[in-house]
Amino acid sequence: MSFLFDPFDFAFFSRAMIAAVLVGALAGALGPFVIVRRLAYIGQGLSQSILGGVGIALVLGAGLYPGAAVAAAFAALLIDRIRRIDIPADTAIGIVASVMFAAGVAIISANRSRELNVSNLLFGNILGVTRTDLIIVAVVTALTAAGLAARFKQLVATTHNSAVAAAHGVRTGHIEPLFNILLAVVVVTALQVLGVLLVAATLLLPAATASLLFPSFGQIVTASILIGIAIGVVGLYLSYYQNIASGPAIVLTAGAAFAAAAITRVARPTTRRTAP
Amino acid sequence: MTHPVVHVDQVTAGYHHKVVLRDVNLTIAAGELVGVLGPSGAGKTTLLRLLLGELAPIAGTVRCFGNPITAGRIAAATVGYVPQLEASERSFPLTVHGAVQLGLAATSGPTPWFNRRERAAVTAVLEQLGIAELHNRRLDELSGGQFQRVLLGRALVAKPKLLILDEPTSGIDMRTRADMLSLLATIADAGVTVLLSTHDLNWVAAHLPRLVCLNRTVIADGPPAAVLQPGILEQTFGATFDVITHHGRPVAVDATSPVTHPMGPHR
Repeated sequence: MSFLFDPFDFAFFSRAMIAAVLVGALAGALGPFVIVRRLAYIGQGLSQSILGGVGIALVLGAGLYPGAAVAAAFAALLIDRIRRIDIPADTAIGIVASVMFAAGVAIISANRSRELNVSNLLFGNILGVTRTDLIIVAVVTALTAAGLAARFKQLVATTHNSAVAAAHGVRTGHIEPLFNILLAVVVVTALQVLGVLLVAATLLLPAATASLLFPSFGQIVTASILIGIAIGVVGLYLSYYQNIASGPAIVLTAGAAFAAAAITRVARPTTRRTAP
Repeated sequence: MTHPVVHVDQVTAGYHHKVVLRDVNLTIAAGELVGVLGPSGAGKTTLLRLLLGELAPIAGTVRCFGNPITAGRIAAATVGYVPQLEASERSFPLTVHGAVQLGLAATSGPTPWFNRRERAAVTAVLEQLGIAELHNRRLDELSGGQFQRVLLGRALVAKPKLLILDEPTSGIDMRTRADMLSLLATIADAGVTVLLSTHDLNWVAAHLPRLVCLNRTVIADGPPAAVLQPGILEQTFGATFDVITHHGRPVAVDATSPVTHPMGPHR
């Protein structure tokens, strides 16, 4: 059993483990909403858009987190506004993500003299999580969890049928922006762990795995949170013992979990009954 | 003074400057069961959207329970809404109990779960609708009629005073359609005002106590015997009908000339 505890001799591993658990839980909670809203590309789009904000933050000498947070919130709201003018969601995401990503690359390449580890930004650096990072992730996780818990039922009702939810008194005009903000917050928080290019996987894979195993939305959200935590933990051990980057290790673990669930689902005799 | 449940006064409405409804007047009292009858594109859904607060009128006023409805604002638990059947709603991973519970989302407390009283209300409405045994069934495992009852349950669980249904009988079989109309009559008898849209003349409209014929504006308003007249139907649907009486109920029959096949009569 010592292989489980030995890595904790290093402070960076303890911090990384806490960050992986928190980010896994956060992304796991929001992922099922992303899937049923058919917004699978949103995580990818938001994370790419962040690069634009990071580039501007770099030029202004501001911190990366504020730049990333503002860019993600701006991108989420912009995607939502473009969708409302009869542009399909995937097209809106593609437009905003590619333009903001290009802006980020342009700004960063024009300011090469400034210090910026682009590799960490693209692929994450969970082993470089500082105490301050951890406090930020913990506070963000607590606030996001509280917001999601308080409005969970209204968010499910709005996701199921926005017009019906509004007719029944749900303030859908507040719920939609709340969802976009929570999503942006999760993407920014996951950035340090997985980087711009892999962050979408934490939103999709645990939720998709859970949806293969459980029938109702509440169960799927609970399972997705637990799977998100589990793949963070297993992925981090994999990273430590196989000496591979933590982001890819976590995503590959998530991919393996999804494959196992898919095989289980295919092998299992169908229990669905089709009503007459 | 008792206000009518619905009062639509000289309303003009539409989308993107295109007028769909013009000078519409309609008053509905508590406990009435009313059908809005008209062809596709007549403005039935637009009228329902006005009442739901989804759409603001260009001119005129819409009042529910005496209060003007502003777009996007409607009092929770006063209105229950059953939309047209949508495939996306059925593919959502929810059980019957879970879907009906969502009708209580607006008034439920700030916890991720519903409390015991709310779960009991869901069970009661499932029993009322005769689908209690399906409570744990996924939505994508239901027949069209069963799914329609789930949507009705979601609309009724908060005990609304006004129930609005958009084409509730389309896509379901004749027996289920009859059951649904009977159920709606029972709900109206209990004091809930029921307003539904339909384009079905004989299987739905003729069975309702009051009909409003709509095509951009109100063409006629009254009981089926008074409204289902050839002239009114031609004005509403743009087609000619004969109306016969069968078991004391008006039946509209298509009176257009039969289409002649270019290859001649079938041998």
